[in-house]
Amino acid sequence: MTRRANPVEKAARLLDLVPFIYTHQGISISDLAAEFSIETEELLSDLNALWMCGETRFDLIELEFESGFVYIRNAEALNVVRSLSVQEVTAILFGLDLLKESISAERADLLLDIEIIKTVIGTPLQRLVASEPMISGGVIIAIDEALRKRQKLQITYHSVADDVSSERVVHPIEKRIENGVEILLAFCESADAVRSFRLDRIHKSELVQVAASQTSRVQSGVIESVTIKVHSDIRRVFETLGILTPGRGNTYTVDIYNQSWLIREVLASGGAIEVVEPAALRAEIERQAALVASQYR
Amino acid sequence: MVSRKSERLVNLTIALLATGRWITKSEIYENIEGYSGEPDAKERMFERDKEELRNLGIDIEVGTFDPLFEDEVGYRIRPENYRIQISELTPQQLALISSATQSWRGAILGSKASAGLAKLKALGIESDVDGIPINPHQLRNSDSNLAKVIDALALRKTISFDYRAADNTNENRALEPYGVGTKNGFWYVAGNDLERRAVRLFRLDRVVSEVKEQGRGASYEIPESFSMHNQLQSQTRKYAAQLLVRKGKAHQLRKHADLKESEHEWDQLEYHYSDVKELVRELLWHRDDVQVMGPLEVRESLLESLHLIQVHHD
Repeated sequence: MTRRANPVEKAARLLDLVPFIYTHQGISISDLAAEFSIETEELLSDLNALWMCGETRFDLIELEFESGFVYIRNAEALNVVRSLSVQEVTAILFGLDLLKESISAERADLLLDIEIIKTVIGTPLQRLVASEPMISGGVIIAIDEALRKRQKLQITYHSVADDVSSERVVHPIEKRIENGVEILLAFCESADAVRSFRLDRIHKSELVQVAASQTSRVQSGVIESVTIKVHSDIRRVFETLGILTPGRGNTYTVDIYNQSWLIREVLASGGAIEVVEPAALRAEIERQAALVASQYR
Repeated sequence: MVSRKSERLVNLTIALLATGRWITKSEIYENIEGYSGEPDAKERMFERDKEELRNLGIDIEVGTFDPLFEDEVGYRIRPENYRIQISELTPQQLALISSATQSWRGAILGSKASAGLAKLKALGIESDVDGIPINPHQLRNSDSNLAKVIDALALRKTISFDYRAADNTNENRALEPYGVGTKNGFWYVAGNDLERRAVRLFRLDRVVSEVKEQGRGASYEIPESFSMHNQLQSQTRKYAAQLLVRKGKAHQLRKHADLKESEHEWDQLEYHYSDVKELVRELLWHRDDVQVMGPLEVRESLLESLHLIQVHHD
C-alpha cells in the first residue's frame, strides 16, 4: 500500500492530471491511476477534488468519469503541462544513466538518444547529478542485509568468462572495492570455497531465511568466533568486518567463515586490527607478517 | 480537510494563471473558496500557500499593477514560466524515459519519476516501447534521506545530519548540498561543509540520523565549476611504484600496472597509484605474492605496518 499524498503533493498531482486528461480524453480510470502510480481509490478522490475547482465558484471544471472513462472540459487555464521539478529531472537522469548500462553498444541510436534527452530535460542539473557504473540497488540492499545479519544469500551470477548465468548460495563475508570495482567476497556452497563476485554481475540476490540458532550458525558456514581489538580506522574495520559484538574495552567478537580471508584483512589493515583470540590464529598472523617482512631483508 | 487544502491550492493556481493582470490579496480572498476567518488567519494561510506553490517550482511573481496604489501589491503566474519548455521528444526518446522511470518503481523516487513521465506524456507524444528491448535494472533504494537531500538541493536549503566519522563516532554536519550521485552501489551527497568551509563528499549510508532542512530556500549558490561527476572520480593514479609480483597471482593489482620484465617466478610491474596508505593496504592484502621495490616511502610504510602487526601479535 502506497503512502497517501499530503495536500501539497495532491495539489501538484491535480494540476498535472488536467493536461494529461486533455491529451488522453476517454482514458479508463484504472489506466489513469496506473499512469500516476496511484490506487484507483486515490484517483477517484483526486477527480472528486478537481471537480470542485475552477476559475470561480460558478465556473467549475467539468469532469465526467461515472462511466469509468475520464473526460474533461472547461479547464483551459490549467491545460498547461507544468515544467519538470528538480526532483523529477533528478529521478529521470539517474534512471537514464542506469539504463545506459544495460544497452549494448550496437544500439548507438539509443545511447545517442539518452544524451539528447539529458540535454533537453536536464541541462542545468546535469552537473549536479552523477552516476558511475551502477549496481542494482536491490542487489545491494539484500547483500547489506545479509552481511549485517550474517545470513545466506541466493544469487544469480553472470560469469563473463563462460558467458553463463548460474544460481549459487553464498555466505557473504565482506564487500570491498578492488581497483574501483565493487566485490562481494563470499563462501560459495557450490564451489565449496571462498570466491569473489563482482557486484555488477550479480543480477539477483535474495536472503535465504535461516533460524538464528546455534545449528544454523554452523550450517551458514561460520567456522569460528574471533576476538579482535581495534586500534584505529574503526569505521573502516566496522564496514569491512560487518557486525561486531562489543566486548571489553575496544575488543569485539566477529564470526568468520574463512580464516585466510581474515588473515588478509588483518594484514591489510596495517595494524588497525589485532586478533586477540584464538591464539593459533594470532600466531599465524605473526608468522605471515614476518614472512612478508623477510622478503625485504 | 486534506482535500480542501489541495483544492484551495489548485484554485489559487488557476486564479493566478488565468489572469492576464496582477490580482490583489483582497480579490484572492473574495474569489477563492477556503480563505476564511480573521484577516490575520487569511493572511497566514495565503503566505503559506504561496510558499508551498513556490516549493513545487511554481513561480509566483509579485508586482504593483497600478502606480497610484503602490501599497497594494498584486500576484500572478506567467504561463510561460509555468509551462514545460520541452516541445520535441521522439516516441523512442519518450520510451527511453519511460524505461528510466521504471527503474524507480517502488523505490524512494518512484512517485517523482512517474510524475515527471506523466507530464511528458501529457504533451501528447506517443511512446514507442517496442523499439527498445530493455529490461532496466531496479533502483531499490528506500533511504528516505536520499529524497530529502534531493528536495533540499532543489530548494537550495542547508541540511544537517549526524555522520559516522572515520573513528566511528557520530558527528553533526551542516551542508549546503551541491549534488547527488551514485557510484559502485553507494549513494553520495556533495556540498559545502559549513564547518570545514570546503566541498566535501558524504556517503549516505554513513548518515545515521534523519536529514533535516535548515533555514530558507535559495540560501546559497552552487559554484559554476562544480561537477558531481568530478567529485565521484577517484583520485588520479599519478604515482608509479615498482613491484615484483609472483607469476599468476594478484590479478587485481595487474589491472593498474604495466608489465616491465618477467623472470623466473616473478613479474616486474610498474603499478599506478594515488595514495600511499591505500597502496600499502592493497600490497599487504596480497601477502608474500608481492614485493615493493620502490619508491622508498612505500617500502618504509609497508615495513612499518608489518612491524606494528608483529608487535600486536607477538
